[in-house]
Amino acid sequence: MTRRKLLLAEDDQMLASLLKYRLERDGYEVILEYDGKAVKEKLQEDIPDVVITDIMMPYFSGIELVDHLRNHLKSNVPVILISAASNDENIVSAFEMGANDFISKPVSPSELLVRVSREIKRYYCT
Amino acid sequence: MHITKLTYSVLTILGIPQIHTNLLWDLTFLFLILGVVYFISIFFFRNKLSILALRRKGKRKELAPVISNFLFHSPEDPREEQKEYVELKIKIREYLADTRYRKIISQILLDLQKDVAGATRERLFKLYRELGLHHDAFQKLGSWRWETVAQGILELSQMEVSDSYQLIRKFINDRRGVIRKQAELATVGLRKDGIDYVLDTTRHSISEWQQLKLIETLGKRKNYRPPQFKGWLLSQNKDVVLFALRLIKHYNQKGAERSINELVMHRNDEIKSAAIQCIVDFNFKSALGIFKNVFWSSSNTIKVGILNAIADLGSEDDISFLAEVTDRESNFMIVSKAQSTINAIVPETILPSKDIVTPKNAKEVHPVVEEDSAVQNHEVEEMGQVHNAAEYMEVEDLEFFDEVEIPNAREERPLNQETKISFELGLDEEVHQHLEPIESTKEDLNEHELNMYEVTDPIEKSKLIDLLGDTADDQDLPLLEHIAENETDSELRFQAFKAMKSIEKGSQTTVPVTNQVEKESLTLPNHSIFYDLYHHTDEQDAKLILLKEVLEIGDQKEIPFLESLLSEKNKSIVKAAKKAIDTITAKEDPKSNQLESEPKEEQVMEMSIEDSLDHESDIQVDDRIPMELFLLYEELGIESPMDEEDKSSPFDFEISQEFFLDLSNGNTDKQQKANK
Repeated sequence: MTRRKLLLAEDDQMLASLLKYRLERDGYEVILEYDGKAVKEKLQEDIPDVVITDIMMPYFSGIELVDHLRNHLKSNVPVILISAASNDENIVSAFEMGANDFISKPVSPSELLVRVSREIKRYYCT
Repeated sequence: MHITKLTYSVLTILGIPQIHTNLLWDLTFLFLILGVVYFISIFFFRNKLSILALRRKGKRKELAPVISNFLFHSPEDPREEQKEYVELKIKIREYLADTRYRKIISQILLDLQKDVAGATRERLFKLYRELGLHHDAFQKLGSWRWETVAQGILELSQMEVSDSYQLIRKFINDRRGVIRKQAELATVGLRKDGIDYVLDTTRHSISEWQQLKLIETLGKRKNYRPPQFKGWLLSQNKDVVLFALRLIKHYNQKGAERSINELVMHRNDEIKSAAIQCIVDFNFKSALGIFKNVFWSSSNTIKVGILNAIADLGSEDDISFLAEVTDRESNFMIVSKAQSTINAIVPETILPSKDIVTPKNAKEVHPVVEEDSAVQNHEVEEMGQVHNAAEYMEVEDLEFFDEVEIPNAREERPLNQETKISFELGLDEEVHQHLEPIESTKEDLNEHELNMYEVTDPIEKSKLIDLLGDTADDQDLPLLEHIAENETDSELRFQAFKAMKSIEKGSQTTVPVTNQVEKESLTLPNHSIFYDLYHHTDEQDAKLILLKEVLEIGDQKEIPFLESLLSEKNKSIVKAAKKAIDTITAKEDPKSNQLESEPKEEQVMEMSIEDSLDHESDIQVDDRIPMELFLLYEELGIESPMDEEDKSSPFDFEISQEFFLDLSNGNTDKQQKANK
């Protein structure tokens, strides 16, 4: 059985490392990037099965990445956004752009795992 | 020393300074070296800090997977992972031996606890304690530096080290504000009874911001059951009382009704205000009586707060109190607030009345209000308090004031919606009955006012006229007119005239002023605009030039000024003044130029000019003009610019004096030539 490939974009290195470790322990292949520019480059090379991205990131925000993915790369892969709870407007516009799910900080790694598996099931198994 | 002598010798003041060139070079080198050292040190420290940051970053990267492994380790993990875990434990012990690593691990855990939630967060706290990092935080509490102590308290509270509670709460009354605030937050955050301890022991003030932060910290506690905060309403610390009131409101603890009501009588305005707000929020109607009791002894801010509270909680029963406030209170703001409170309880009881223009066909409503206001205004003046009549006007217009003690109140009648509507639509019979005594009172009032005026001494009279002018009430115009016409003192007459003018200007209405008054008011020399100019200069030539100007452009107002100059010693000035008087008199009274007899054309001109030059001429001017003169005007094509007021007179022509003078001179010349 092939491992699902996740692209995790998070500028906080410690949190990114923690989430990567947790997701890998659950059997996912995680590509970790710390800024929007690197994420865009990675997306040009290969489209992952699920994208998990923070909204506030250097160079390109999570919303811009969703827009890039949907409108330029014409990809419908599930996108899960991570952000501080106060960014209500950003969250709404991200959903309008085509984001699939949202999880607020502080992040519970267990909750993230559940959401990832649900998105994979919804997108790839139906 | 030799150089110094050369450079700073006294001779340098007299000649070119003799500075030794070597000194300049030495100084140049010195500053160059200092500059280089400065830049090198900046470069060195900057690099050192960058290297340290890079190392820290590297160490964080190195430690991140270790910490992740520790956080997500489970005894049920496969054997290989268990082995890896044991190896990491040994490794981390080595790291912890190094102080720098300890600090970094501690920092990583502190950063992570903000970003993670749930079970991972709980594991993180456990790891922090297992690694013994809380001991470092304890050590920080003993530091003499306030920022280190605050950092230690923050660390322990964030990592939820409940053992530190006893240590931290000692800082609640620390003299250093930052530590105190941090300790309060930590105490409240660490234990559920922390808030009790803070409220019991704190001796210092608790700022609004701090109160909000404490409430936020309490809100983060799961399944928190707040204590009854009414217990702290008795605190000696006023900030604790205020905070307790805020907490009571926040946790909706309505069981403290009596205590909160009592706080309305507190000495401190802040507490009073907070209690009033609390009462409004909880809808404690039992406080209305206390409000009324404390109202008169309260500050204006509290009075406004009480009136706002009555607006929210009050009923029609409270209107009598509000009417009393409107009557007794001298502060405009409070009166307005009381009136708006009345309207809040019974909407549209008091209608706008100030600056309302009454249409001519609408008969009674507004004039009645004005009459009423005049009565009220008079009453206020009698009390020695000067207020704008409009402030008092609305109150007695109300029918519900029958309930309040007013002289004409006949019987008590509760206010209801019907009476209000009847008032709005027009005056019902009952209101008309009220108005009759008021109108009759007005006549009495005028007589009374006049009597009052007559008996007062001149200084008081002057003050009264000023007062009437300042109040700018049209109702006072008849009295002022009376003064302007009948007063024996000319200054008072003029003052009354000025007051009338200001009232007329204020109300933008034109009230005709008698010519007599106008003339009487212009009897002083300083009423001329040239008066100040004349006395501004000492030069005779300038004065003469000015008098020439007066002659050309002056009018009746200048006559008293010019007459005052007739007593001057300088003959040329007296002569110029006399000439100016004559010319102005002739200009102002053209009708006097007209002749009473019927002479020939040339004679008419000459006589007319002679008359005009004679300023003391008291010729009664006839409105009619002789036929010859009329024919002459017609021949010359001069039209009559009759004024509105002169329309009654058959003929009047605006002919300048110069014209007659020129004409006369021309005729005289011709006559002289003929004689020759």
